[in-house]
Amino acid sequence: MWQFFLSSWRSGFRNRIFLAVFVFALALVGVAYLSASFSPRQPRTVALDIGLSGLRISLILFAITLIQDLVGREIEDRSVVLTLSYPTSRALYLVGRYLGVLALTGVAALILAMLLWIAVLMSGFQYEQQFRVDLGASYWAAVVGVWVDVAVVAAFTLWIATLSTVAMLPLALGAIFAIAGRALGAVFDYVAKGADGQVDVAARYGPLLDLVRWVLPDLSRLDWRGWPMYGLLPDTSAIGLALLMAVAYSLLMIGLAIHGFSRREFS
Amino acid sequence: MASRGANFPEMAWLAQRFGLLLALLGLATYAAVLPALYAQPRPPVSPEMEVAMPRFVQVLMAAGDRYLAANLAVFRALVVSTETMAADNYRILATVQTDAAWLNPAQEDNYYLAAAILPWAGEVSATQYILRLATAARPFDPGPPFFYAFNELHFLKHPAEGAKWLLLAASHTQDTMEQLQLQQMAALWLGKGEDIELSIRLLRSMAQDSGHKSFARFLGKRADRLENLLSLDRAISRYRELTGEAPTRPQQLVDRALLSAIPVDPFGMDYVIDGNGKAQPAAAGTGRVP
Repeated sequence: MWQFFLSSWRSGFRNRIFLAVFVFALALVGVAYLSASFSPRQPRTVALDIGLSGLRISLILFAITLIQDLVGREIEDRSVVLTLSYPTSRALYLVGRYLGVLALTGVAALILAMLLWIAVLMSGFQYEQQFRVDLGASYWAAVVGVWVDVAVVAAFTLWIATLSTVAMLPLALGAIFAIAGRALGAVFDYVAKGADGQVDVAARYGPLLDLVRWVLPDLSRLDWRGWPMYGLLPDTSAIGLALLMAVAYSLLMIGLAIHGFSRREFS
Repeated sequence: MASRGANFPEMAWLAQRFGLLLALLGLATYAAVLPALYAQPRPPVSPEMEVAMPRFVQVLMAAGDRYLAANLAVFRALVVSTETMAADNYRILATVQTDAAWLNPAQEDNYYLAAAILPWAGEVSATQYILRLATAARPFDPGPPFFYAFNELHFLKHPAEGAKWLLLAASHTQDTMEQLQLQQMAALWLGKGEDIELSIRLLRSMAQDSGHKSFARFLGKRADRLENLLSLDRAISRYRELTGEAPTRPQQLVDRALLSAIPVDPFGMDYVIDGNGKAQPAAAGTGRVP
């Protein structure tokens, strides 16, 4: 497993996709810095807010392109057959790859978060806002939340990559999964509270959402940015349950991936 | 052969300019069609699309990120020029800001912009919705409940309701000076209230909650005055029932034995009966309503 972890790690850094996504992420940090000028009352809060959104988007792109590159493409061009001819189990291959991707995303998250930290500090220099943002432990907690969110999406993408016979499928499904999982909380909230008096909407989508929430994890629960932005500490039990949900769902996905991959025949 | 030879240069001329001619033809047709196309009515959006779906769409367009969707909506509200806006546009602005408030109720710019622009353009209920959400989402910020209170007083003419929100604003700040000012303002507004009994109850509970002794006394006096005015008003309406006409002086109420004595104002003022037949405090001797 260790050798797969290491090879993921190395090829991740050699990869051009890594660079491309990284440049994109840097641009998003720049956008966050500029967006501060759109705020008359809270430039730093807005810079942090937009920056965390950018971090969430770029880290997802990062993770799913890595999975696609390290697992999907190896399966597609059959080079995985060579790898698996060594005396090693397929399960360890997948787990090693997955952990490698997590480590790479972790490093990317750390670098981008530090850049965002600087961008937020630099924005709104002239204006002392009434309610300050907290760039201490709460900020890093929010970044960890984003990373856990990405880990769930990466696990799902890994499963799709082991099943897929179409090159771009893991990439596309991974992105859709991430968007749907993140939007689920808002949609659920809207419908559960009666859809603002739209009784027919609540009646139509309510049962459907009750079904969907068993299939799709509510990734918005891993978004803790209210803490650094407004000092609103989320409920500890809510954090704990969200983490548990993320771990459980990732295990489920990795399990399914191993199961599917072990039965797959490469002719 | 001769005729073909004569045609040849013209053909060549056409062939050379074929692209240009095609472009000109396209341009002419485009220019001719465009006004007619714009004159066509656009199909109306179904009510469900207008009200319910856009929030989903907004979240999906922000890659499932409701905070980002909220920021995008606020940016939209911020860059819009409000100087030349018609009532319809204000309604759309109110919708955009209401959505932003729902997506991220704690967004500071959103409630601030809403409070600054919307109620003055007639969108009071949208503003109050935004401020209610912001009040709940920002327990550390006296701003939203304060603006809410102001709108209740100024636009909706509910000073007693406004006073309640002022008290809520006072509970949202750590600054004791600010707390005191807000409570004082609430006490003043309660004096203007139509619902005198509610105002008395609120003033009494405020006096009880206040750690500040002289302020508690002040609140108690305010409540006493309102109680006096209430008993005077009750006596006035009984006087009307008995005599069929309105009294002009409080002494008439005592003469009819509807009151044992004219109540004494805690702030040392006199009570008079105004043109509408309501009891009012007036500076002693002047008969002027302060």
